[in-house]
Amino acid sequence: MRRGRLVITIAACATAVLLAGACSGSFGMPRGASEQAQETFQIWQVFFIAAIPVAGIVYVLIAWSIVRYRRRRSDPPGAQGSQRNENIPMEIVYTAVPVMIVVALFVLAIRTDDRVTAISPDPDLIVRVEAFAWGWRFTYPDGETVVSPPSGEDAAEPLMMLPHGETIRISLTSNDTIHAFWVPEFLYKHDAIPGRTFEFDVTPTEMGTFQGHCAEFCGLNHAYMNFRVQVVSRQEFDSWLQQQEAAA
Amino acid sequence: MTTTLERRPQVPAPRQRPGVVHRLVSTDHKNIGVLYCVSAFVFFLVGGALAEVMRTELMEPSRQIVSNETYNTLFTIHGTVMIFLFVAPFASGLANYLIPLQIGGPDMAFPRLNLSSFYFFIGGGILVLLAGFAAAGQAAAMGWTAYPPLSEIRLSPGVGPDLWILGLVLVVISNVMNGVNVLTTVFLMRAPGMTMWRLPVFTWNMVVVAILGLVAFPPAAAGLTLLLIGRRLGGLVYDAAAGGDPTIYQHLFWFLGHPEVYILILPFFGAITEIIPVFSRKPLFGYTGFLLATLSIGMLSTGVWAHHMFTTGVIDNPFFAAMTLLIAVPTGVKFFNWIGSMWGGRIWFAVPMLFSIGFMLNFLIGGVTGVMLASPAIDYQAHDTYFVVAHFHYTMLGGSVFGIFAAIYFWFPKMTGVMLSERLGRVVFALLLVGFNLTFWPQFVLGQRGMPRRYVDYSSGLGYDTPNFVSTIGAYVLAIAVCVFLVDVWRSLRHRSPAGDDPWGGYSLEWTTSSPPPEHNFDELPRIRSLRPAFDREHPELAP
Amino acid sequence: MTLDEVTAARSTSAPASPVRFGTILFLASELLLFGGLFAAYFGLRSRTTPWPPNGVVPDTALAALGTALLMLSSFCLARGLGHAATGNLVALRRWTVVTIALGVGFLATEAWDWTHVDFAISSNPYGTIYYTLTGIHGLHVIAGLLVLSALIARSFQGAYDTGALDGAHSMAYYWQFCDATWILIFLVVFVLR
Ligand code: HEA
Ligand code: HEA
Ligand code: CUA
Ligand SMILES: [Cu+2]
Repeated sequence: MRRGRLVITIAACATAVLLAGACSGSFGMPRGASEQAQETFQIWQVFFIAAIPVAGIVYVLIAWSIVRYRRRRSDPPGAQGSQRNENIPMEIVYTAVPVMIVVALFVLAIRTDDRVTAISPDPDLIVRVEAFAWGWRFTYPDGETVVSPPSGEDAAEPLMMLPHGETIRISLTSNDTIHAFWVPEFLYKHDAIPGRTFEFDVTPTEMGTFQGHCAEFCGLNHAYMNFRVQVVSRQEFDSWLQQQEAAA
Repeated sequence: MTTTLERRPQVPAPRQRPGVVHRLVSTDHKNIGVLYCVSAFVFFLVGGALAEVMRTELMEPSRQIVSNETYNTLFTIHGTVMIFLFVAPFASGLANYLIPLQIGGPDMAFPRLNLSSFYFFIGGGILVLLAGFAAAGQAAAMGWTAYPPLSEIRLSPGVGPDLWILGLVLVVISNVMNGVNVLTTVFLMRAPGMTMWRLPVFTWNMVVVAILGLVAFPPAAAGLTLLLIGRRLGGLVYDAAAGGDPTIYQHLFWFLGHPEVYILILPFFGAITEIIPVFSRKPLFGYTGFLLATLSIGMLSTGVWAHHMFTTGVIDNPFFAAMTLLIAVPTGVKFFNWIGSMWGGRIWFAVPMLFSIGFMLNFLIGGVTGVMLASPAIDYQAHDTYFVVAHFHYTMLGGSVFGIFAAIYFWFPKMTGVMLSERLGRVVFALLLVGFNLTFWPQFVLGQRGMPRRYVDYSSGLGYDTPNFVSTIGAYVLAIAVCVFLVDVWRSLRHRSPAGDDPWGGYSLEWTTSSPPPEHNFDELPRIRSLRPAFDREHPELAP
Repeated sequence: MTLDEVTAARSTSAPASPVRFGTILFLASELLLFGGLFAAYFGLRSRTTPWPPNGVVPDTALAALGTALLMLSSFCLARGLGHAATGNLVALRRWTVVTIALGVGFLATEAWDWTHVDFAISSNPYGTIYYTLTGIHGLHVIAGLLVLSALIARSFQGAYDTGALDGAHSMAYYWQFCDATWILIFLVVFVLR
């Protein structure tokens, strides 16, 4: 009996910790610094919140069986448990309910996917991003480019400037091997595959500097193929662009 | 109550220890099974040692003990070894040992083929290790997925990748041979009364695993062949500049890669489904549903491969998301079978049962995070981060490896005739459970905070420091757990506390013969009238 | 207890032959090796216009000749096995030799093809997949010839004297498989393009 109580206490504590984590609402995910990221963040919340009762129920059932149906000292040796081995209505329920859950999740997931990958007919700015081993080349419409020196451990991270609140079309490609463009705060990444160009939009909603990574393994300096994204106001962006032009 | 198949004058043979040479060439399925399990476990130690080096490097920001190049080799070989040379062959070992016993047969259908498939596996394993270590400066370092163009000669010169490819081709051949053997044995060599619907669940799961292997391995061999031709004969199939397409490889690889993960988990679904009812003193709950779930997992798993390619932009994301989500349903059915089997039982928390419970606790987390990854939008964020690394260690280490330990503690007495220690077993379990969660829970956090996988190094100040530190400590705890386990095995084999034929009150046929079983497996077979022939013999009052 | 004893002790329903069953499983699996290569073929085809690429002319007439030879060889082998069923092992050997000769003939057409087409394995992706498909198939045919030689050798060793022909049939399956995959290759690469 005492052991049973201990298990229950531990389970209760664990649940409390989990719930406390859950109440912060982000479940550990960055809240996202772009319009598209908001969508992803929401579907993340949906999936996580759906997971809590699913996993919770299963855990409670497991914990209950362990505690309630443990063999006790008072049991006669060789005692058997109940010999029931099926329960058709129950089996139908525990098949059908998950089907309904996953169908609902599917519908929501695909709607989000559509929105996240939707492409605006007239973006405010088009930035061409070329990934190469191991660095990034960002080309702005007027042809100013920002090239990172082929990087090693100590190379400076190249900077990508973006104007706040505008729809930016990223046009992504690679010229040697597969890389992936990833800004965790935008909750989005896309592979850069040689021979193909991919387009997606990002509409930054927050000013600031964000870390970017190459996410697809690309060899020796994969870990050092980082970059930064700085989101600034339109004026600052324009003057930065002019500076680059002058420097070029 | 028993039908005697055959009586031969039994001179009680003195049980000598067979010599090493005899063990290496004997085609007896039990011997081959043990060979498989032991070699696979050695590969686990090797792969684990590599992981400890990786974790030590990642303990703190900036690079300390290995170069970028070495690190890339480490995870390449770690992943390949763990998947193709540890978990899958361990399952083959269990299958070889147990299937003939469970179906009441004398051996596998093709004993010599069986031995050669073992040696193909060893050959492949040696080549993979050579690819990592013997080829100084030219080691394979392209990840266990070996995507071109990175794995092409231009970017991965040296013989390492070639050896790796050849090694995997041998592994493919070994798996195909083994699959043929398993299926032929199960379909054609069952004892009288052992219908397909009385087949123990472990054997059933291995049937599905064998089918998956036959379906999924050859296309991967095609992909690897094209890779090798690209590297050595100037082939251009994956070369975008010449009009080829590198994503073709990804399709062929994941058409194996995904079924492979079920090849890694189904055997242990099977194993714990044998174990849980035995220790709950109940029949398995929902046998038919369990089989249907296994079959549908098998079928669905050949149609989900491109969920590893959501961020490539070259596939139909909704289709693969749908298939992937659906697979949660049959897996859930299994969870409810397990719970139903414990419900109303009298659960004996022997070590195999503890590991089975650990399996459920861990794998559930692996499963629900898998469902999250199945949403394309979430995967855009989580792909190639430590979130995925955590997901798959929760399924493969928290699931498959816990299943392996459950299976070892359960069947070791049958295989050797001696018990493992209950006391040390509990220590191993506790250390593994704590160490495992300590290692991999922080990796979910790392992934969410933006740490990509396959990074030898990370900057301080991005929130990666503490989780990495904790994770490394956890990995050390895991190493200790494995050491305690080795001590347990060593001690048990020395002290030899005899197990008897049936230490657990087991259900399937292997528990009706001696431990270890005689050369020909059964002196007499009990009548098989249900799923639990061994139980029926002990409890005629409860038998159908 | 040996295998045969168990088989004998089993219920009366005619037991399928393990060798044949296993061979069929193995060949089904092997088929998917070609399945993977075909997938690559179609993947490339969908991204390349024109297909086959300019300057590439596969020799369909020669391939048709090869197809005919292989189909004929399958027929001969089947005849041989038919005779074996009636205990006529001499005829089995004769027909198998004819089969082997036709198989060698097929390899000759392949060798001619490889040395005369005007593109190489490294010319373009088409060349790579073309040589890989025909090459891997060629390796299977070579293996098939060895298998058929083994069939003859075993018949001399008396393996089929008792009328137990499962081994011979399994070996024949392998050859028929080589034939069937070639027909697929012929249809996909030469006819359908
Ligand atoms: C044993 C191995 C194993 C298993 C069993 C699984 C099981 C699953 N996996 Fe996992 N996976 C891997 C091993 C495994 N995986 C590996 C190795 C990789 C990475 C490879 C690499 O890139 O190196 C990977 C990667 C991976 C990805 C790609 C991530 C990426 O790279 O971006 C995805 C995406 O969909 C995924 C999904 C799933 C799903 C949905 C399941 C499902 O089968 C899980 C189903 C189980 C449950 C859901 C829990 C129980 C169910 C219930 C209690 C019922 C109720 C539940 C609901 C209704 C939700 N996995
Ligand atoms: C079944 C599969 C499996 C298992 C069991 C494990 C087990 C472990 N894995 Fe593994 N892992 C993979 C499959 C697996 N892994 C795969 C597929 C990858 C992806 C590779 C890629 O990206 O290409 C990966 C990647 C991977 C990474 C990410 C690397 C990166 O992306 O940069 C990390 C990092 O922490 C890691 C850690 C561990 C740890 C600490 C263990 C521990 O649990 C290990 C525990 C074992 C031991 C501790 C054994 C201890 C040994 C001894 C005590 C004795 C040693 C003595 C001798 C050898 C003589 N693994
Ligand atoms: Cu570029 Cu990783
Ligand atoms: Cu998968």
